[in-house]
Amino acid sequence: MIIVGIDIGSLSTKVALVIDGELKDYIIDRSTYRFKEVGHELFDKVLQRNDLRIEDIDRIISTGYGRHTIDLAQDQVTEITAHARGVQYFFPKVRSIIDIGGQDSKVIIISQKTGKVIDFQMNDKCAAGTGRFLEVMANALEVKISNFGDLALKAIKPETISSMCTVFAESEVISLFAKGAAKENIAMGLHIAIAKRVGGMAKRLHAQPPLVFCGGVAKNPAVKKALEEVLGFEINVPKDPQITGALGAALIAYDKMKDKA
Amino acid sequence: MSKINEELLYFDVGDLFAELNEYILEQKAEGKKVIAFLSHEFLPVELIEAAGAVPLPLIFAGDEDKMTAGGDLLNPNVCSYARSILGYFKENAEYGNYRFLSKVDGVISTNFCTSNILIPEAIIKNFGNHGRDEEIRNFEFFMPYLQRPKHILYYKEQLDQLYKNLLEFTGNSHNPQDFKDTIVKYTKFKQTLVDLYKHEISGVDQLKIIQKALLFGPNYIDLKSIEDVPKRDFKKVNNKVILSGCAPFIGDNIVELIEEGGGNVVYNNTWIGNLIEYSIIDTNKINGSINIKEQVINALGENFRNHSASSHCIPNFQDYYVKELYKISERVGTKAVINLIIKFCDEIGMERQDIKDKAADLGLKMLNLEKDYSQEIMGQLRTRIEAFIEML
Repeated sequence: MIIVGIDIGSLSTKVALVIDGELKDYIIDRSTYRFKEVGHELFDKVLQRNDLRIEDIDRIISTGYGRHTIDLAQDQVTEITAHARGVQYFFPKVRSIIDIGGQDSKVIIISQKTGKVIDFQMNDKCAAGTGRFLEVMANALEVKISNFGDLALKAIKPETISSMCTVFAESEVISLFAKGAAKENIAMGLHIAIAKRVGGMAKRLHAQPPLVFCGGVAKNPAVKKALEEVLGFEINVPKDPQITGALGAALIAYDKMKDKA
Repeated sequence: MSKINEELLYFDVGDLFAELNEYILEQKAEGKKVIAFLSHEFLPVELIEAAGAVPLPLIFAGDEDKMTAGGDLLNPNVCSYARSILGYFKENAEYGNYRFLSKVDGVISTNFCTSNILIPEAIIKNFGNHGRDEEIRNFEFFMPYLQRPKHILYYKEQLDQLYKNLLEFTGNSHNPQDFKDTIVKYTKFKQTLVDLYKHEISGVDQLKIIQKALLFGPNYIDLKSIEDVPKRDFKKVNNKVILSGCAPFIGDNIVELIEEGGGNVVYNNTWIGNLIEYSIIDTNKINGSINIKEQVINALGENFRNHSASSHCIPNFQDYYVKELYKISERVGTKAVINLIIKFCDEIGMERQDIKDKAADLGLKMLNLEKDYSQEIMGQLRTRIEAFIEML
């Protein structure tokens, strides 16, 4: 069975190709403002490099913020259910998931008995605790977002960032910088701030290890470290933490088709 | 789903407001006074009508503009509903959609929650004499915070005083027979609304029927045709959901979102829903024709004392609230509860985690869904609701 999962996030689009329940290929690119077009382009690319035609695909399923925008998909599933299934592919015993994406963050709790989602929480309509928060702060410190985590890990004495509002935190960063605070200490302070916010959400849901951290922000090693300190236990990150949504969606479609067969 | 008499529904909020404008203008033309209030189960609307006035429950959800307009008058972090109601008054114009608001003669302020105190005060302060012959009159109606005998006595005194004040305002006198007829009429009307969930009617339509019925009352809305709608077999309904928490006011699309997301709201445990039950007067307790008013007030006192899950008058109400939800879940056959929290609601919002944890202890799955009336959160709300339905 050949299944394609498409995860249209606010910042990036991910396409996963699953054949007989195994992840065979995937591709990730920026969503830009053309959700539908980018989804189509990435879908075509995955097919092309695997010598497949659209007729060869048994099911196409979408997930993510823009899941309803892609007309290719025959089915939709929320990113919460999709991440849970995708993470289980890499970590079958996972009990909790933290997903931090471009515009939201979520905590998902998985039943040990059934492997199904039993609870979840998402952040409010605000950039605090999301990838966007880090992006704005990296810009304020004139650091590339891809280097932001590594810079933060060099901190000796992290600064305290008291504002969680992205706008106020940016002013706070500029003010700390003007007072002569080291860039790496400010950077780590920001990573701790985001970890406290999301970690608090995880604690409210009584998140237990094994916990898997996924989403684009999971590529940032300083957020991982800060989250581990907030939660008090080690957390796991998949090899490519951005793909779990698209993969999970495809696996959900695969499970359903297998059950029907 | 069976066909419902379309007159009981509404298809567009604008049309509903147009109908309300017409209705209120007709009532005013008959010389009646219009009394606005924020509805909850402890304020008996029957007394307003029995005093010869027109009850106007302010049960409207808002939007971004109304929340902002209301926030200018109160505070941006007062509950979204309270700010929106003030926004309606601010947008009210002689020929606008909400011109019925310019016909309001009095408001009842109660102490059910902070907003119930703030809104009437703010209405009078900001719009009390705006384009009116007479200033809007404030009727204070304070409810006790406990259910002991002396508190019930105080509640009954407040009911009696409210009725007397309304009579004095309308210039009418107490007529025991009319009073009794009004009570009996409302009891039947409310009982039909409470029993709506037993019929094969979608959650969206049920809510619209209740909203319209509460807005216009039994003199305008005839619920008789509901009896013809077949009874529901709860076992045949998939993805059943109980709605609880804050009320889904007119224009709030929360039930639509739930049902579009694959859920079916089979029980609405809110003020604009089955909590109406607590305001139904047991007419079996009203006998003969002597002391009718006292008998009714005693029956209302009983209702207050028997309320088993009110956030207003039961200390640590969470335990009772969750037990009540559990009983409902057994009745309708679902463990799924969506707890609606209107942003900055201090009654339901502050206890959300405790309520959720206690619900989980009883095996209930609860989604705490916090929202205001802005459009930008719709995508996130859909995801939360759909994920919750996927979990079931």
